[in-house]
Amino acid sequence: MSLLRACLAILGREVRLGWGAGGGALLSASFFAGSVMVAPFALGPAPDTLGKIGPGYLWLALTLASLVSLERLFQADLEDGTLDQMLLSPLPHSLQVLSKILGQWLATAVPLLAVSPIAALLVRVEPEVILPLCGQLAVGSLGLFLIGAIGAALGASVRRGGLLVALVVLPLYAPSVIFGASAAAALASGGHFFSQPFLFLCALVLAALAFAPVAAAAAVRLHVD
Amino acid sequence: MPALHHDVRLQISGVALQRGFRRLVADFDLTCAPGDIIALQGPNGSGKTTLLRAIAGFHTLAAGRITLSRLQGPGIEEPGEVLSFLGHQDPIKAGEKLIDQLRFWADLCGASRGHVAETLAQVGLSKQAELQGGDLSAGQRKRAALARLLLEDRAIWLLDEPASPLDQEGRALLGSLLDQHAKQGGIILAAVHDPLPLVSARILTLGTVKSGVAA
Repeated sequence: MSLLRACLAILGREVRLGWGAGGGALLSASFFAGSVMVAPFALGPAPDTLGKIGPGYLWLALTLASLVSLERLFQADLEDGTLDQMLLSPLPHSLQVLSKILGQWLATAVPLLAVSPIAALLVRVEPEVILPLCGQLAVGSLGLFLIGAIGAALGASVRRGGLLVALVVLPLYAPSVIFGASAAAALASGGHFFSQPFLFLCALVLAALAFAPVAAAAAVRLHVD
Repeated sequence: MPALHHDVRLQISGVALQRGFRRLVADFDLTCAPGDIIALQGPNGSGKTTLLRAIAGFHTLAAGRITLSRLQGPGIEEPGEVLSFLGHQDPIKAGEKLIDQLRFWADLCGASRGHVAETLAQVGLSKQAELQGGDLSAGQRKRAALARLLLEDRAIWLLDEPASPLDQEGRALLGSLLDQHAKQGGIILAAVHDPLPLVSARILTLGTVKSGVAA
């Protein structure tokens, strides 16, 4: 019971801090919306080209937008000593990290997913495909946040470590992006929601749910010395 | 004599500490029984903070061992079960209300939320409860960190320069909290430059090791 209470406290605090002054929860969502908004200008508004690229472009935007929030995930806690205190708490460290990632996901990815149907319209995704596509983006974003946390943990003590985090994380993102974009392409060409690539993506997310918190917890521990 | 609230012993034997290739402390021995107050002194860079962090389990020992034991009752698996650490950074978030931050710490260590308001009153921060963390002064932040210590209610307090940003009244408060904790059977290890207020402490001086490249 106290375990659940502690997990919920971490999760709730992450959301509260994200939405509080200077929290930056909307940064990823605005990055995502902005990058989709310029797509028709860069690629041309023609429905046949844009409609073909659209679903994959949304995945591209999601991937880059999820990088934006990663840098500060553990860094702030490391700098102000919160991490020391978390290590002393009786809660297993990997559970703390999992709660933290889920909190960050709730604070950051939910607004991003809320604007994604409009973003999909902008890149001319077929209206009937929009909601299932956004559902797949939601599942994928959780996986990206979990995997990204490993890189964020490794780069936590590096000032301006965003570049390092991106370098570590992008190769790890590749499988999720490949399966996610293939699932989106399958949807766009009339396939159904639980296509084979999407099932692979779900498997990846589940694996990340199990392993990423342990790996991130071990990586964070390296910086506390 | 009534039973003490805390009954943890700390034993440090033959500990050596290293930062990079620099040896800070060698062959350090210390035994603390309930009620002990120890002031660690020494010049800057003599390893006071590193020693405190090593006891808390953050820093890996180069040699020796640190043992925590209860006189009675269950064994101790994690240092966090019996010790609190107050570093020179204050884990206070700028964008969150003070009272919410303390509620968070209460949730995390399993303390009752009902004690939060009372503890804030004890450190003289009742009026600041609704302020954002970023609006607190350095002294108020330190008081908030002391409130966290009280909430956690652990036997061993590791304090790194606890008095530095506090005003006269704050130092008196710190002194009385330390005294109270020691009387309840707690152990206090504090890295300090000035003597601790109000209480008499055993003084240990670090920095006697010849610093240099370790063998």
